[in-house]
Amino acid sequence: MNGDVPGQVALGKGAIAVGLAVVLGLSVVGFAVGTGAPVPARAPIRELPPEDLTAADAPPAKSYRELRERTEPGRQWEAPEPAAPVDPDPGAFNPRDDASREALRATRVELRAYDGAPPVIPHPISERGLPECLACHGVGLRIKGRAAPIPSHEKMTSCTQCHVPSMPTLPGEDPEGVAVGESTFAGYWPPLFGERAWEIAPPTIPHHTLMRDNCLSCHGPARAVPVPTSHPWRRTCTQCHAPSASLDQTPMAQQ
Amino acid sequence: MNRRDFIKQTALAAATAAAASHASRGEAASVSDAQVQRSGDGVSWDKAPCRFCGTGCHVQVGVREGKVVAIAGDRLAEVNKGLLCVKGYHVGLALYGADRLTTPLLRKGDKQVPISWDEAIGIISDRVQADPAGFAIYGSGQWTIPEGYIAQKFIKGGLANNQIDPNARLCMASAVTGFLATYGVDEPAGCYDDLDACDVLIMWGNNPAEMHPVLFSRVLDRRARGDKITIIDIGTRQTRTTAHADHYLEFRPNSDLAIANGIMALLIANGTWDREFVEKHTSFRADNGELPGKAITFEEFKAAVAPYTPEKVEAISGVPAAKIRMLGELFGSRELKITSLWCMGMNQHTRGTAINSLVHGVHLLSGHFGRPGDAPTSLTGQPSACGTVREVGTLAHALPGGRVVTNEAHRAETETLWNVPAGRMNAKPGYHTVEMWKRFSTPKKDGGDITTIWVQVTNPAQTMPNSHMLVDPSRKDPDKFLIVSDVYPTATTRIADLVLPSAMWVEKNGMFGNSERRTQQWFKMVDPPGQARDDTWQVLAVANELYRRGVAAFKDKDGKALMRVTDDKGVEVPVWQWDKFYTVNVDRYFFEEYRKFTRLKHKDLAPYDEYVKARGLRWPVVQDQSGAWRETRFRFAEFDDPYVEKGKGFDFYHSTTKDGRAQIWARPYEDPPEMPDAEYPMWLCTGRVLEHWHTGTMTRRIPQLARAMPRAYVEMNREDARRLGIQNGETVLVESRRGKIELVAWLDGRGKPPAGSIFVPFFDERLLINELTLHEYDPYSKQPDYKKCAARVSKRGAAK
Repeated sequence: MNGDVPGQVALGKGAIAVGLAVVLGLSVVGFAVGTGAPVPARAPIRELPPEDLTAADAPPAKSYRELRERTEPGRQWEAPEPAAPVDPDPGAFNPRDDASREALRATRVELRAYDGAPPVIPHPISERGLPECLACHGVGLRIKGRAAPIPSHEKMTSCTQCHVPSMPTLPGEDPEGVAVGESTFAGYWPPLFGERAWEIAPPTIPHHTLMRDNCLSCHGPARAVPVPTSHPWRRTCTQCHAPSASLDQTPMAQQ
Repeated sequence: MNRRDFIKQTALAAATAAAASHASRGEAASVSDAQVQRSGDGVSWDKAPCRFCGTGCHVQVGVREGKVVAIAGDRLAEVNKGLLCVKGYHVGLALYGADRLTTPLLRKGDKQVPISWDEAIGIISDRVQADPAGFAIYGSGQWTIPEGYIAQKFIKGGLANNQIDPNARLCMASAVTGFLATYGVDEPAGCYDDLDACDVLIMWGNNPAEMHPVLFSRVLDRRARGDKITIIDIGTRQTRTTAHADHYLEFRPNSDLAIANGIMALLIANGTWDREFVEKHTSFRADNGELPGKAITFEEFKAAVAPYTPEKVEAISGVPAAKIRMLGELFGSRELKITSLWCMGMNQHTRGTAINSLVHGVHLLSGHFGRPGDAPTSLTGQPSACGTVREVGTLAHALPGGRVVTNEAHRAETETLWNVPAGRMNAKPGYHTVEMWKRFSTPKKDGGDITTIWVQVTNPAQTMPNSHMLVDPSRKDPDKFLIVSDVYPTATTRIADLVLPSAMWVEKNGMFGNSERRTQQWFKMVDPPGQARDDTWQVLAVANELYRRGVAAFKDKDGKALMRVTDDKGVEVPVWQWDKFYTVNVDRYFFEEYRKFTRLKHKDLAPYDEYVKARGLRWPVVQDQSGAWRETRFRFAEFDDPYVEKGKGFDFYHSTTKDGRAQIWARPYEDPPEMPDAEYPMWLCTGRVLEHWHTGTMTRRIPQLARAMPRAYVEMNREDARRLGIQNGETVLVESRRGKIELVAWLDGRGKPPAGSIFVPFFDERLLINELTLHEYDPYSKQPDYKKCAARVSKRGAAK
């Protein structure tokens, strides 16, 4: 490592304290067991023939600064506290009222320009390299009340094509100069409830189903705050709930 | 009012609005109404191509109560099959930045003050009359097809000074000259269907993961489904595309010419070139200073490429000889299907024409051409660079439908179709972009004979290379007058003398033509804000005012208005009155006129109403025996192109040698005009990022995109940063011989340039990197090189 690079910051106080404790501990042990015991000779390091390996082939070691700068997914995993989870079992045939549905919607609005927009990513991502999103999102990983939602659409490997972080990973401050204007866009949100043919008929799906092949992505238990269903154990949703949005562009809707 | 009543009322309102707009939709109204679908809560959905890049995805636009409220991918679109990228999903927000321009503004002293449209049209007409020869239009690959066509007719059919050129000159002019030099006619033979069939995808200086994401994921999704596709990234820096690539070949800037030559040398040395295809369908060509070049024999060609052995290519390019051999072996395997993609890396290149024709040559020599999956495909960066600039011909030397002003027969045909007096049109090409702006920034007494430029749909103060030289001086010269039509305040509107507020995207009818020859159509869905008006209307209003004033150039042969519009019964409609503009479909009127130009080069377009029904159609669109209109996916190949005679296999029917053959070029590697030296030791490359499109005037006003990528930066290699003592996030000084700028250094960020090179995106109007770039251009295409010049980086405040 180049010692002459300016700004090479010393280790944190905590690390120094730990280091001192380790040194102190070792010296105590050393005193107890004696330090005069002969050290067994180490086996010599096997030398590779030079034609196989040159110094230039060795990958450069990363500096601590570089390691700290990494902003891989999950670095801020525990930072923002999630909203309190909604009671996961609302009881049979007990649809939520308007107020709780509105509250649920607010959590969706925060991350989307309109219903159907790809949500922004509420945590840092690695800017380059293969997106590793599915490591957590592929299995709906849950940690401490937060959940990595399983995609509502078929799994694709180009996640960052549509999903961008809500906060930049780019370092630095904004320069002086012309600021960007505010947006007056008001996004569309579908009705909170589908339509029912009669009182206890299964409601139609009030939103479009483009890129939403997997109902359980939002309605199932993989969400910290699922959009409630009174019967989460049933998995064949479209058996009873008919799509209602004509945007769906299914062959039927085209008729 | 309960919900059900509300739904009923909004549905009724939507239906009334639809009825009122029937005329503006033309006869296609009934067809279109079937397509406008309404959901239960007052949102109507209709199709439109995305406003951003040249991919040409179709979106479904959700409109409620006169505003765009949602966007969805269009499942019926072959281009994107229901998927979009993050820009596309947020394209509807581009209309709703709070600072839209809503009134014409005239510079008075240091201020721009509101004026009326009548005054604005009068001022432009005065400028035309004062110096008709010095009046130029600087347009765009974002012009709709009718917008470009009308501007073209205004300049070449009216003023006849040929002073019209587009920003696409800075974007794909070298792709055009590459196609012309190789096939004798512009635009790709293949199409996006090749991406579904290729075994090998080679990107030449291209980063589709960020720039054409929908096309790239089309290939990645095939991979996810189990197809085996080898992805090869030949680049000058590591990008998001590199992450998905099987092979990354990092080359020194400009040495792509050596790589292409190296592949051809190996094909010949290994005997793996496609002898049958080459002997039947190609001949060989070399440079002689003219675009068509001179004929050479196969032996001469062989001798020209033979020196490019893998070892020599490695010495020039830095790509290991083994990787060059790998490319040679892949192209030497006829059973594989290979698609090449490129965009700005090969076009913004002082040897742009050369490298474009070389890559075509690699495919032709190896026979990787004309089967689905085997194609050299050039991508465009703007939504209608092909449709408007290349096909309508809004370039200083061109006329609609592949014609040129220097050809007497082409001028005569155009005069007939425009009904202007024989001999009116001018045989002398106007100035290409760099020359136009150079003359605009030169005093009139010193030969600066361009005195007024009317800019539409583009932002040259941010995109012109070396802007201190090409733009700034004009702003201190009282003889020069800059008119800008745009939708937001931009770097260009701020320095303009007259600013005109424009309607954008679904605030007007429009047509685009994407990278795969696909012509697309959409209808106006919402009203523009304030007094913003269509660019089409602006030009028609000036043309009418000049006609009213008796200017002969704006009369046709019969003394009628050159730019008049009639309804379906032939009755003239006063479209120059804004309240009458949408009583007829102006787009449809001019498209039907323009369509007559498209047969000459076999780029046949279908009637307007066919495009209303389709999600775009790829030309040539020809009528079959049943009367149905059929598009063409693969040109020059017998199995799909209706213009290739059965039994011929292939026919390059616009061959420059008039024998149905394509040209394989010998073009040597040469050093670029500026290279790093002791004073400026680094390569500077510029480009885009995923979140922002062009100069960011739209995308920087979309909160989701602006938050994800808030400002420009300089991407550096850690090795350079260590050497210079620069930390990640530190503000540094970047300098070239032409300008300097302070930027935040980003190490191991979105991209990773090799040591000795830096990258800066150009979207941020506060951080104008084009004050540093080089204005040197390709000798044939006149396209400048934004991808390489010499620069240096230093710590802020460090004495140099």
